[in-house]
Amino acid sequence: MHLGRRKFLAGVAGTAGGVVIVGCAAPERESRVQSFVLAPEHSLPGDSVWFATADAHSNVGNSVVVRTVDGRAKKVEGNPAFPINQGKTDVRAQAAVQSLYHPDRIKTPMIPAGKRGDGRYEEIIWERALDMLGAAIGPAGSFHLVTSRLTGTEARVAGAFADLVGGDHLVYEPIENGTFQAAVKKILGVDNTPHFDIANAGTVLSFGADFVGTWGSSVMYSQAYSRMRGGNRGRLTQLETRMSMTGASADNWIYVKPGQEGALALSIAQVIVAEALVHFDVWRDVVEAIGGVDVLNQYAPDVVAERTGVTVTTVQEIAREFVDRQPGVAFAGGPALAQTNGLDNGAAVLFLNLVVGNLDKAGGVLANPMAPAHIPAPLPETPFAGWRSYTDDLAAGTVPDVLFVYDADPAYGIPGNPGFADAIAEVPFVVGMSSFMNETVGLADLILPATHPFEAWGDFTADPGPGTQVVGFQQPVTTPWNDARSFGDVLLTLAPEIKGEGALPWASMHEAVRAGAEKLFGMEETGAAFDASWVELLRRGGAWEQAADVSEFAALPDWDATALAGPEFAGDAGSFNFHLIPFATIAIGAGNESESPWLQSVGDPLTTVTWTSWAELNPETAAELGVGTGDVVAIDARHGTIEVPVFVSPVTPPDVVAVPIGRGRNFGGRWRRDRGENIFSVLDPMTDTGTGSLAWASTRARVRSVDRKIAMPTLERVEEPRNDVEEPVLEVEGE
Amino acid sequence: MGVLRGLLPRLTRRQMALIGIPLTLGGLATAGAVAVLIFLGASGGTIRPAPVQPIAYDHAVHAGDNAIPCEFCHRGVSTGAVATIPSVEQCMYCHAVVGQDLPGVLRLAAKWEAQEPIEWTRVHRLPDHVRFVHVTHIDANIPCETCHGDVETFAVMKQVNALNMGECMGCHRDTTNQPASSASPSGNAVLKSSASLDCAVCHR
Repeated sequence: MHLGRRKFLAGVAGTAGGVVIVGCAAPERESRVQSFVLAPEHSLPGDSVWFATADAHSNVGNSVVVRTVDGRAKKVEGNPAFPINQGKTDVRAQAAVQSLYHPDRIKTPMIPAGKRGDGRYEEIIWERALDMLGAAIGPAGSFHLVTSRLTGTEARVAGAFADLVGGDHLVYEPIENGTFQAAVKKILGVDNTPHFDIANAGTVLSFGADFVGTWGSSVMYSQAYSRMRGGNRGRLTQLETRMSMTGASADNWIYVKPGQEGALALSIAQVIVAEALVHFDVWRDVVEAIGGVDVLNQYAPDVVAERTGVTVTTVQEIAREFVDRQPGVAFAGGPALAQTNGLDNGAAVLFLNLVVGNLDKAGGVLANPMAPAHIPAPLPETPFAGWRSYTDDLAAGTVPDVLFVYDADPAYGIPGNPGFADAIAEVPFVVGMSSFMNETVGLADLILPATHPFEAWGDFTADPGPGTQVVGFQQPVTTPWNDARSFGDVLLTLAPEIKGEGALPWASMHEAVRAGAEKLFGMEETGAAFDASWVELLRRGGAWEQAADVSEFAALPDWDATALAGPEFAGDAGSFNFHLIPFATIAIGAGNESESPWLQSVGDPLTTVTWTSWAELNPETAAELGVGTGDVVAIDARHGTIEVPVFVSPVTPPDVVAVPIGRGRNFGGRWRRDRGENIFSVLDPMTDTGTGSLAWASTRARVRSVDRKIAMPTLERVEEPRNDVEEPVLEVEGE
Repeated sequence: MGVLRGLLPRLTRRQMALIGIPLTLGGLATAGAVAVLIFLGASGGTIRPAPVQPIAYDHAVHAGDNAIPCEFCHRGVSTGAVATIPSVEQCMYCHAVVGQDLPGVLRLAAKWEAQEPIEWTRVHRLPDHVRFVHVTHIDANIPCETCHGDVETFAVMKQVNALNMGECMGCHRDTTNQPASSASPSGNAVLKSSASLDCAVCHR
């Protein structure tokens, strides 16, 4: 064909015209509009409908309201009526919508397409998955159920199912709460978490507890802290080894040598007693109960100053201020309890509250009611020592027929050899259920997609409560986005198939949660008559007005301070000259929510580092090692080595290297995989001698440069810290 | 000129044509496109022909002969932004007992039986950068006919107004169109005595 100039130009003009016309027209699909078959009540297309539900990512019991449009969750806010979080949320709750619509969620049940754990999977339908599960659990001689710290009805269903099939239920959490709870039991004699009334306190002594960041009910505590500041202008003294966000917010930040928090607390108590700052009627009996004044005198500030690293004057000032500005409250958490002497540290700090007599006082320590039996508080975790011996048993061949792991990742977080991943190699049938792949689920023979909390039923009792009983409900705010099912519903579907109809009293989680709510009020009306109350409970997100007796504090502590052992560390101080202090960050915590790019890119509040692990080093230490911010160092511990970039921080003590928890994962989506290092992989499996919890802050390490540098992913440019001595901010000359 | 000639490279006639013709054509095309867009945006031209619907729904029979008020079926109109098309269930409220043997109603009943939605073709559509809120206009006593025409006479639903910004502004600037009383058909209070001319009211 001959293509002349005219034909060519005509063709070009025609094509361009066509492109313009087609490009301007609205797409065909936008001209179609579907009618509802059944129009939803109280909902118009494009209009927002808000539902109250649980913030299930926090294990302390916050309630949120979720904005939905056309049946899809769009935005999360704090539930303004809920007494715990009072309309506020943490950053992880805000990111919950992102994990809901995450492209790397497990979408359907799967089985390995090749060898177990090699990363290739084949999708199957739920019916086949349930058949496989029933066929495995039914005849199994032994069944082990491993979960996270489940709460409320879900915890009860899991326990009832394990009992039904004659199995064991183990609870795994990488950052344990057991030491704190045991210290509370010893000093206060109660089995639940008390309410530290920070809002009304004149002084707060926090030993390592990052309560405005990652420790305990941090959303509640943050607001209480703000009220304490705004009202009677109380003062916060933070005593810790690595400066946390709470430390940065404190009036007074005191460095304590690792594991010496208990000695320091007793030293403060000694000053109060020796200087008679408080009337002896208040402290006589409690001091006698722990061994008497002579025991306290062993901790006189001048005796322990070298051990604790805190000067005599400072201890005296803290003690005097604590008494002068009563009511006050003292508590310990974080690395202070993650030591071989963690229980004693926790007990000694709580003991300060007894010395000044501030139990059951506003601004002091208030008792909480126990959770109602049918909506239990989060289950206590199996102590790390138990997990370590369980892992050793598995590796030695004592394996269950079926291991069902839900929402827990022991293969990521259990330090020591052999690792959990290797130990389960001989288990004949491993089931993993989760919303995202993790190191444990990735090794399963059957992988089940779990619902997001916004897609499932549940309930919880806030732990700690604000001195009253607070129950919250979790309702689905949207239909499941993937082919996911709730863990409780899967167990309740399996139970009648394995043990016959009526094996468990409920057919679904919805039914079980509703039945729990009826029982909560001892409702006269049940069934249809309860409908209106039930809708109201869900609308509000929970119930908090019901009367419940608070636990009674013991009159005297059940703790003997006569012969306290000091902390022990893994690795000798000569060759491992740094204390390795892991810490949780506000965005990804212990790593459970690290799949979210929003959370990965939230800067750590003190360093603004995002997306990766880092090692905080003192400027002088860094200079000695010849490294600066961004230079990669190797951290060698007895159990392994990790390589992370340095962040030079003037608030890091010279003998400390601090590394965040939660990164360095091999599974779990494109934004979680292969970022940073897993600090658990180098920790020594040391335990607290009192409780068997993991002493995760008792590992020693050495640091060496590896002559590599990365561009540090920080949100702010890092300035060299100002030297206030040589370069004063303001100099006054003459008079 | 002498200076310019010194600055510009010397070109052959052929080279001048190669550069000049595309530049001229491009300029003309841009000017034409701008003119067309101004014309479409300001003075109408977006009225589209009445589309074929999956069920031959007749507004003249419903709104005309039987005098069913618009809000009876378009229930969102007095409470929200969108007027909403009725659900299949809502059609069946009446058609379970009325006109069951008509071909359109048979199709409707089949959809209800199968619990399937009806896929209508949209007649009125505003661009994505406009947020139009029906309830505000209903509360201001603007009759539906102002924008949608005499729907009670339409056997086949069609667009009669361009619904472009010029038409919107025509009303919003015309203060004589404003309601005299504060009562409104939806029972909501009328908050404004005159329509807003603020860009962000519609473009947000």
